[in-house]
Amino acid sequence: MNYFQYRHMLRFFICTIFFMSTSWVMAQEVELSKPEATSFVNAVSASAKKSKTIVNTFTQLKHIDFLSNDIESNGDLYFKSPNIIKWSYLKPYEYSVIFKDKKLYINDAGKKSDINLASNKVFKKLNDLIAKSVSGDMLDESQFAMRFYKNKGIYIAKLSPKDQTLKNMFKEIVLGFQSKSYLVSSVKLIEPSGDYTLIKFKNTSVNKPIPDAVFVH
Amino acid sequence: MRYLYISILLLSFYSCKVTTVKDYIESDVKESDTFENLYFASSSIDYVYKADIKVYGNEFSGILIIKKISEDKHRIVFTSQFGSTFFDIELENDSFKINSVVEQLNRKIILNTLIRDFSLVVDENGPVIGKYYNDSYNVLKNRNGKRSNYYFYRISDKRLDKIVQATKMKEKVIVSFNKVSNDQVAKNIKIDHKNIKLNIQLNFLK
Repeated sequence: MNYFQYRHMLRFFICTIFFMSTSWVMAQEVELSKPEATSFVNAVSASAKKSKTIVNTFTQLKHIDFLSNDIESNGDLYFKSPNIIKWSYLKPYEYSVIFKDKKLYINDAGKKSDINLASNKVFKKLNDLIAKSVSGDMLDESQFAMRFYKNKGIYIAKLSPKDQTLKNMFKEIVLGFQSKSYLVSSVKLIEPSGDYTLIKFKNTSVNKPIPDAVFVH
Repeated sequence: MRYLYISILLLSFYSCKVTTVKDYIESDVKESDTFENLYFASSSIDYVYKADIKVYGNEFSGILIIKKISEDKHRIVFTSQFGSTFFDIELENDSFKINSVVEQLNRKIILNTLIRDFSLVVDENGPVIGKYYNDSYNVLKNRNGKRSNYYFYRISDKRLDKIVQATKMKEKVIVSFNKVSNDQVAKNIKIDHKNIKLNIQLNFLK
């Protein structure tokens, strides 16, 4: 093979790889067009409005780049519209937090404490973010720069916070939605460093009454 | 009256004297003597602990991760259960780098204390300037700036049981390593401060 044949081959090879990789990426995630995005946001908002309660189980993976393994935890999640929420961790240790009445109630294996959200900007932002992401009611253009994608029957919303407090915590929040119900199936909170927390929801039931006792501290 | 003053002065001096190795027998230090702390020495283990930090009445609970990322370097990350990071620091010999820290902990005094505490916990070896023993422990003394670190090894199985950091007068910090597994992981670690209201309790998660 002479030099020109070699260059030709190389160019052909690189082009093939390039086209294969772009088509591969496109098969993975397709960005929604403007009208598609609008109808998606409306559908999510309608679903969120209808969801008075949500109960599900969750698995949480904390990915830190330098660790050999992600840190896994799991438990149950209870949400009551508009913004009462309880994360009940069962593993790796029993721990629960309830966001209610502008307070954050913590039960750490029987040891109880609370944090006033009114005096803690970071926790308040975090609470709003979590409550809204669980219900899907966070596709708000004034708060986030948003892009939407579809991938194998799952809708994906990528949100970049505009608010400085949130921006310091997370550079991007990626929400996965089930395509039929428009309910949130996963939340990925990506920190400025690239490390992330991925929460996946399962066994979701909507509008099932939740006993008041669940939200008692 | 003068005697009273002198005796009070003497008494207060006496009671201030560091009691760490008071009743121990001193022995000669050899040049080859080094202290050894292997609790965070494996680069293949993710040391993941549930951490409870009590500082002046405030409590922080979360997950503390310690990882040896290169020969002399440890990365220490404290995150909430939700995954937001409280602090992320790197320790290398006597230097440190702060990758991130939340506003509430971003005070020089708190950071310096945390850095000093964790340096004490992860320091693997170093020179010895004093040796002591009794029926239960062999103790190795190491100098660290104005403070001294006393490493207590159990005579029965030679394992490091606690480290006491003290000035000439007072004990400042006691680190105790409990429930040690066969692969040298301390499943429970307590860091108690004697002069300030700060204590840290770590329980291994994996």
